Amino acid sequence: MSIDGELVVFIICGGLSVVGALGMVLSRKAVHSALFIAMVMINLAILYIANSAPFLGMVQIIVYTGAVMMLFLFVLMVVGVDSSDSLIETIRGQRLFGILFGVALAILLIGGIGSAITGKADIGLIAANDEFGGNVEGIADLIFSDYLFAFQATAALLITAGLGAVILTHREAWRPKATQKELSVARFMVGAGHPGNKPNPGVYARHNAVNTPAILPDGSLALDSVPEPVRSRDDSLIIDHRVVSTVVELVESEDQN
Amino acid sequence: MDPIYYIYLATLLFSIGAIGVLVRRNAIIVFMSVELMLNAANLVFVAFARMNGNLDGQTVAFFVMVVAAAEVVVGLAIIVQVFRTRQSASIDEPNLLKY
Amino acid sequence: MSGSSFGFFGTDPWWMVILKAVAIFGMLVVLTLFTIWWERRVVSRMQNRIGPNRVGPAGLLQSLMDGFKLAFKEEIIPKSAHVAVYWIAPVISATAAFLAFAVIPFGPTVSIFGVETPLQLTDFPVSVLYVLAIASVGVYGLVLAGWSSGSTYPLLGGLRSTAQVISYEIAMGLSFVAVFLFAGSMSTSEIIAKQQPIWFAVILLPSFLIYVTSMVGETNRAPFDLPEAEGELVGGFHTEYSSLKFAMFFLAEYINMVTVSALAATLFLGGWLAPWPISLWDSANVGWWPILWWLLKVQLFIFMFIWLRATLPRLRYDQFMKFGWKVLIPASLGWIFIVATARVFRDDFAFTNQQLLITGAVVIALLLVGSWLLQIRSDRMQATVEAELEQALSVPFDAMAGGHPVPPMPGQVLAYTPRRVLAAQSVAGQVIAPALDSAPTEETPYA
Repeated sequence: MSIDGELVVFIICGGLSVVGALGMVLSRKAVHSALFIAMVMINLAILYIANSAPFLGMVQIIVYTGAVMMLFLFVLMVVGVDSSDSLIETIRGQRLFGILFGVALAILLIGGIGSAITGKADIGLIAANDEFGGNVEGIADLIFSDYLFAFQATAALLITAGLGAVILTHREAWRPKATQKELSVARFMVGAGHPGNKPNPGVYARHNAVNTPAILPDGSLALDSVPEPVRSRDDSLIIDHRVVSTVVELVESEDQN
Repeated sequence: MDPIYYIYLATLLFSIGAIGVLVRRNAIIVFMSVELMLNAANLVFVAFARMNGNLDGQTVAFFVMVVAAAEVVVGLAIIVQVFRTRQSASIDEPNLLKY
Repeated sequence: MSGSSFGFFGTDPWWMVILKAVAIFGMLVVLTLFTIWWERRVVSRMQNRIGPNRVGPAGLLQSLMDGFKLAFKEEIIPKSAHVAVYWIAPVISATAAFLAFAVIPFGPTVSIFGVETPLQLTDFPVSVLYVLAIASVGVYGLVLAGWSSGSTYPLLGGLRSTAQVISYEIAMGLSFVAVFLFAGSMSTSEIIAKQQPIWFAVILLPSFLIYVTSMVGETNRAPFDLPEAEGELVGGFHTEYSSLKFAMFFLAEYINMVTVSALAATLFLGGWLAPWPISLWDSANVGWWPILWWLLKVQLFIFMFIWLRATLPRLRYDQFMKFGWKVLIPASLGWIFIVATARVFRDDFAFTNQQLLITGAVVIALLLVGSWLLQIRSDRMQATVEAELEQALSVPFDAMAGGHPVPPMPGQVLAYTPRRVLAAQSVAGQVIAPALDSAPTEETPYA
């Protein structure tokens, strides 16, 4: 990659990642924050590839964008996506001091690290990557030799974390779960109600509005076919005059139930 | 291109993440800010690996990713658990240990 | 990037890159139109119908016309939609679907306008990981579509698709590991080169079967099409989409089908390499012929997708998740373990294939005996646990047993205390006389 090409990539991806990071902190909706940080992560992956780390770039997208942020989105949807922040500060002036601290940290780090490493030679990874035949092979060699213990430890950590998450979100089932067969038997038991689909409102009636009960083959009305909220306001039912006497009976028996 | 710009970029992202942690009240967004800080640290590792011409930096960044994944799993499980009991994802809510 | 081992890749002139990209784009769109027609025709045949046969020869232009109609339809955006995200979701879906094809090889090196170039847009050392990465970005389209529609069914469909694609991506990724071990590379062109004498589908059959299963789950196709199960979720994540945006989801679904089929062909069926009887012909694997073999293999998988859709009923959601997590992933892990062990024994201890097979047989026999013994033991333990449970439930619940009051567990009933008896009397106005220290019997445990 030529020097100019890398600069262009850096300006585009670096700029987008800063925009994304600011967007993450500034957006009110948690889902927008999650999208902005996913954008940051994808741009960082491209910067990794520009830094001769293609393996890490791909792992970044798969692990961070694909798994971690997806998990975030999943939890956001479970936890109620629209829970936005309250604007009341718990500690007075915390927001101001937080921002001041952040800016000070940025100045300190840029100044400190910058003065420490300015003018350091850029050796590049071409020799290191080619030593074992490629970037993936080079990292693999390090992981399975110098970093073997760390590798095993992270494996144990991952399993523990997985188990921990399962235990934390676990809810004890006190009764055995009903099987499909049991559910089906219960549905057809006497007194269990209507086993199949109920007729739609308006079937064979003179109107097809949602508050018109369907007419059953024997000419009586199927009050079940009208949704409960409509049915409970019985003044809103459109009633066919042919069968009005049956309706009155049915409504009364419905009320008694 | 001088790789020091990557370090500057990473510092900027880290600081924005730190501000996010300090300022936001939604636990999930605070958590995302922590992820942003970890990502910034990873960028520094990758840039240093390239400057120094060996792959240790990339390997460490790889481990950071794995540990971050483990951390997210447990952290989100805790958030879900807190949400179930308090019906809120705000970090001001779980304050009973204070008293 | 170290490009030393990648020959022609990265050396194409700029016009060649654009030419290849446009050719792949065009091919994908045409393949989508063809696949929709093909699916409708094949499903019709399997259901004793004829299928679309009016527009163009044998109805071939039907899907093109349907596409035009779809694009010119009125677009309805729900009032409760989050407009920006609602717009971007189908774009993410369709873009990701096209991007994944950049690393799929169609053929060997050929000469186009006097320039020697491989029939593949690009390749790099981690290109299979690239396909996985793009697939995981593509899921965002589904999730965001589900959320941004501001409606219940799409949200449920979006959630289902997240859970489904993440779960099946694990099994998919694990099925690649054995291929990487044998090919010694993650680049698609090298994986094909390593399948020269024998395809990986033959030597790594379990990996192949796991991949083929998980690719159906990954593309949300029947029998794993739970995110858009019309009986439960109307249309799933795209319920609220219409017109061109819906068309983009449709396009993305069919391109994803082609992509996973092409990846299956690349990783397991030798990509563009000619199948056996044809490979005896010397020039089967040079020039432009390999595109034909590649296309035939991809069409084979697409036909399988259609066949599955016409044959199998949809799984129930919990069965589907159980299958992914408790069958596919452990089976993958076990298979990787076997492959890795066998390779270590062959490479480091110079085992011959015969010795390996004998060792494997002994290990399998030991495992069978062991599992039989374990089964006997667990049966016995189960019986003990059940007996203990029965005994525990036969004793009336004592809230103060541990010296500290605890609420009853489900199935246990609090004993009537004198105060509760008095309260009951004052309410009912008559004397109820339950035995003071035994639980009332109308609530049976584990009802």
